[in-house]
Amino acid sequence: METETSNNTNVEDTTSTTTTATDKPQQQKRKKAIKPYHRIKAHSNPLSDNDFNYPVSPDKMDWSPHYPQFLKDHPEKRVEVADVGCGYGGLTVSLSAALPDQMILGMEIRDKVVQYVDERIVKLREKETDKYQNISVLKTNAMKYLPNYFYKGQLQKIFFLFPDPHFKKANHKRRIISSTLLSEYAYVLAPGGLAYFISDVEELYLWMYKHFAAHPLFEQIEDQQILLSDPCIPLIINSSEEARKVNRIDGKKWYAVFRRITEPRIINKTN
Amino acid sequence: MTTIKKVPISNFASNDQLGLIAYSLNNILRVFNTKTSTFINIDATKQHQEAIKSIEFSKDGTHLITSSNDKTIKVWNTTDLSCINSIDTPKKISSAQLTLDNKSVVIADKAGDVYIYNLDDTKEKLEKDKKDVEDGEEKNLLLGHFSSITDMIFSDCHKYILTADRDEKVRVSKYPHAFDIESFCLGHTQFVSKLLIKNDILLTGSGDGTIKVWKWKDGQLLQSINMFDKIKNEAPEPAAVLTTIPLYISNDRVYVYVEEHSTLFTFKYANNVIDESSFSSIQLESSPLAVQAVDSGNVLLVSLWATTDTTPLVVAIDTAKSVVIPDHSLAKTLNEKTEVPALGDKELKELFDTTLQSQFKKYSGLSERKKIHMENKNKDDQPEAPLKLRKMTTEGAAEVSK
Ligand SMILES: C[S@@+](CC[C@H](N)C(=O)[O-])C[C@H]1O[C@@H](n2cnc3c(N)ncnc32)[C@H](O)[C@@H]1O
Repeated sequence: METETSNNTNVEDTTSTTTTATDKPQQQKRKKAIKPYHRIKAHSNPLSDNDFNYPVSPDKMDWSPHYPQFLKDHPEKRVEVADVGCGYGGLTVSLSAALPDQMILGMEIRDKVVQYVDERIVKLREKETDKYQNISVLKTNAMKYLPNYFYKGQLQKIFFLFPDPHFKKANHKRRIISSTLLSEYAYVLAPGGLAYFISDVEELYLWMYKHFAAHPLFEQIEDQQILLSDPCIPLIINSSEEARKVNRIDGKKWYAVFRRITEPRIINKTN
Repeated sequence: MTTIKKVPISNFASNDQLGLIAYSLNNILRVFNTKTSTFINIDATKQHQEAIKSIEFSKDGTHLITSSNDKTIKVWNTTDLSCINSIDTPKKISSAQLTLDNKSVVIADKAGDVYIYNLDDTKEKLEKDKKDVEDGEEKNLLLGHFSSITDMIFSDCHKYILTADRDEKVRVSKYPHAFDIESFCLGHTQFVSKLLIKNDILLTGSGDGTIKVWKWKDGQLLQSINMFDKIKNEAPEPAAVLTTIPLYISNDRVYVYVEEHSTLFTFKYANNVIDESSFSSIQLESSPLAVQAVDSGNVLLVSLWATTDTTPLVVAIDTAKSVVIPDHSLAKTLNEKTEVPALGDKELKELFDTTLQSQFKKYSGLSERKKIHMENKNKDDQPEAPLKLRKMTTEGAAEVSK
């Protein structure tokens, strides 16, 4: 997490709270280079404080600071697309042009990352005032609070791009896809709405696939015609920062798309 | 209140038709037959090992189901109180309910999951299923919250199952298709302590100090009553955290208990509305912890925490007049005839600490909303135990902006 640490004045503290398994080799490097060169900005975004306070219910959510221009032009619109665990926002940003009529929300749990995406959107809007009005980001734990933000059936699309793998068996419960969480995703998705997921970790992809395939309210879209004509497919493969990282090392990626259905599928559980 | 003098009655259940009152003292289940005025004998070797957490009659009255801190569920036949089934569960139990056909038991646990077990299954099959659960197979998993479950009930029609959690939410799922969420009841700002259902109406209590009335099927909040406001004149120093617990809803009355108050609060309730102006309180010798209506709802039995040697286990309340009935015969019999398990001071304190209500304290301390407020300035705060996250770079972002 290069950006996070370099942005932080208290490097050692950060490492101790956010160190990850994959970060280990870097830890030593960081210890030597405790040279804070960049003070945390008193956040440029007045939203962040509100974001800490997730709304009690969707009724209580004020979206206008997130989409000031877009909502002025289309006051009847609601968020219809969620990029769950949006990271540095590559997908969220590129969806803006791909789905110009829809409000798109990146959801991310890490503060610094949210701040980064937020500044990124602010800059993009400054550069091209008529664009990027339909995207925003907020800090939240998507595994807990989706029903606080969205009504039943509000979303048309939900994206899970390169989620954290949580390899250890004991931590599988923390994976962003599980049979019980899928019920919540089905709740926020409109009938016919789509869930996209992609990973470069085969084990995680198979896990996600298995859980979607086993959920009676989701049905895989296998028709290549449909997939080929979906403008979101190239974006999930190449637009996010993780996707680009995988591209650079020529890694493999696996993805699938499932549709939210209303009549539960009958699933034969073996045994 | 930290010292108690004897083991209280912590759970009640009754079935008017059968004339049975079931209740528990610590780990011991007792069943009293009001028709014969005798206790039904229960095989001592079949009793739970640790404090009983819930007692419930099946809808048809043929079965009784108990859950306990010893992580077992027991199903009893109400004709002779023989123990039909005893199921070990892997996690601490929040609530256990029988399905309408009495063939399965639905168990909500503190890890946030709800499992369903078929009672006809052999012990071996249950063991195997449980092992599969540990292996991530989740065969008997009905639904799950990403939070501790505090209470679970079926709707009267048994076509829905309602679950409440530490994170303020009440979820309404279809039953048996629990993967299909019907609605959420969102409005509490602290853990939900208790669910009470009456046809289309749900009553909830919470650590936020309110009682809320919902049309649960569409998650619509009808009414919210702030108990802070109601009791601020009574209590010299209302606690910072109030846990409200709706205890009973009859045709024309709602009873509410506020943790650590020696009072039972009551409102008139008609046409799905709580009449706030009808608020009244019934002063008791000590804090109540369980109630049960008997005698077609004319009498409410209320169990008390014994703070003195002479505190009765149970008092009876006249529901028409909202007053304690001094020498109610049933209450008197229960007080005189109930054998109270002897526990030392230390064990009594432990019992107090592990009893449902006081456990909520832990929840209020953990409330995310509160934590978020407190640590607002600590920008690197993670809401959960450290998450193992992938390393990411912004190089891609640089490419995009080029
Ligand atoms: C490996 S990154 C992928 C980021 C991005 N989707 C991409 O493709 O570049 C996973 C992201 O999910 C975020 N995340 C993990 N758990 C989350 C949760 N419960 N709610 C919201 N975001 C979460 C992490 O902070 C991290 O930024």
